[in-house]
Amino acid sequence: MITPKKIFFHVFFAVFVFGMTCLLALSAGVEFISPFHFLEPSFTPIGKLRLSRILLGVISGGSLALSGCVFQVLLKNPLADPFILGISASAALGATIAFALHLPYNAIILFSLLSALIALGIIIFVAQKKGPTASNFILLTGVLLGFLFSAIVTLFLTFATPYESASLIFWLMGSLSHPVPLSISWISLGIVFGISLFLFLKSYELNLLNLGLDEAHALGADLLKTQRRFYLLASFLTALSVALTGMIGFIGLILPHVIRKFWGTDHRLTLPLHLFWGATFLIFTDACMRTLSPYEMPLGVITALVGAPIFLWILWKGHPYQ
Amino acid sequence: MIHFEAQNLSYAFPQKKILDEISFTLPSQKITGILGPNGTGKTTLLKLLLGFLNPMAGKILLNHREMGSYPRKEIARHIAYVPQFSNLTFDLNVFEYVLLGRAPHLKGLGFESLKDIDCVKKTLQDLNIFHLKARFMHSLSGGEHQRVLIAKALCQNTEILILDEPTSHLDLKAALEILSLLKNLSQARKISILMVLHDPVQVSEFCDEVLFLNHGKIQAMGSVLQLMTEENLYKTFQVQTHIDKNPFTGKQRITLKI
Repeated sequence: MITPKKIFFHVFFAVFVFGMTCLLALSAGVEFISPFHFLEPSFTPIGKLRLSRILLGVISGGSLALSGCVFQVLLKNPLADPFILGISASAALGATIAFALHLPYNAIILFSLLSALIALGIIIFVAQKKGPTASNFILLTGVLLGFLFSAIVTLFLTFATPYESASLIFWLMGSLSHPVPLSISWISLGIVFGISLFLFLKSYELNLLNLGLDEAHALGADLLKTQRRFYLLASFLTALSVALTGMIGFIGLILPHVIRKFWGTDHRLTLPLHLFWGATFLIFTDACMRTLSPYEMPLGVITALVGAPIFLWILWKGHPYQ
Repeated sequence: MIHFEAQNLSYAFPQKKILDEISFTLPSQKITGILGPNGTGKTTLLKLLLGFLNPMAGKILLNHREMGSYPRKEIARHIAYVPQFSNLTFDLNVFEYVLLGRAPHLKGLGFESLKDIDCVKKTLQDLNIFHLKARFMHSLSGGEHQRVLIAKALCQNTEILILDEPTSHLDLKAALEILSLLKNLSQARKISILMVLHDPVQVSEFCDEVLFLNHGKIQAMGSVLQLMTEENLYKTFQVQTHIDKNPFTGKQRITLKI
């Protein structure tokens, strides 16, 4: 049984590990720098660069893990991930348009976010129009939107110059090295924490949705309102993450499974854990890559390389819900 | 004592009328069985009564007030539902699953009190499934599974229990155990039970009242002793039967004439 004390204990532990990882990520890199030295003026620029990566890691890792968990319950599909509804492909299309127009980096973020919001609008419209039982319809709509937007991006890549193609492909593969201004990162972080807090306050409704629509309804859940709220917030988290860091795969699929394996399916406990463990995983992976290689590696590829074996391990070990 | 009434309920899918002017009052503290052939609208009727579908005409009254005017949680404190099987996406153990039955009584973040825990423990003990509390739902047998579904509904602490074919996946022994359990619960907890059943024998032996549903209309509704007749069974199922007295239970014995 979940009690506030139990939640506090587990979240406190996750926050402690997250804090330690942030300190490690601040210090680790091609050159190890003690966290105390960042107070010295000569190390400030490096500190700012590493801080930017940490902030993006929290925003992206936390958002993707949270929205992955929410989508898996909403769509009643253990294979669902934050990118399944076409939000990411739509964000990629927005970024592609900005790339094609040779706009500055901040405009790429803006275009990407706006484009993702259009896909989000379509999903919310479908969810509203088709009612609470339309999860398969929403899923198919999202997958088809994803195919459509991806096709347009591929078309652009075909006709783009080699430089444009290389830049866009690197952006699409996802990285914490994107030059996002610190002010935008701090605002985005505030938004992510705000949405996470709201999702935590409504987490019991997600427990009811896990029962299936009939039972959730019979237990007093307002299905239409609850589903719309979760679709909107989880999609927005995905859109924000993709706009800032590109498509970092596997976190949104794998983390929810790993967290369920260790902490169960009560979302009052697991939703805050998704935020902190997702952030910790991404920041740690990025710090390891920066330390092991002087080259900038696409993080989406690394998380997939780490994630796929973990997923196979879970699959082979046998999971309670399979 | 709760009053639950359907008034002129109608429902249609595109190009097909499912229910046509259904009116009845649920007999209080009795077991009512709904009998009818496949596709006659039994499950649709349950969904309307649970508020999962909105009627195209007519209304449902709960304590003489239209059900739509109640908040969802308030309805869930009066009416509990037992589906044919659980439809969990991610598995839960029996204790966690039954504890969710307390949802309509929880406030805020939904943290359960000791009272809620005690309620779950007592219900599991009453239904002789306390030993299953740590088992995962997917690992239960059909009979155990059905008992757990009923336990969750009982934890809602409602006056009305609606069940959709509670014996459809069970063998003869497990089905009899579930129906006996429901009979005892109805008497001990003074609950009004409405359930869809496929077998007229089960209705005859375990229900007090019967509602014959045919082509979306109520063909007959009343006491099982009066209405479980060869004529009503023929009108409903187009099957010839012979009815006499069961020497062991004193209820009607239904024999097929085939």
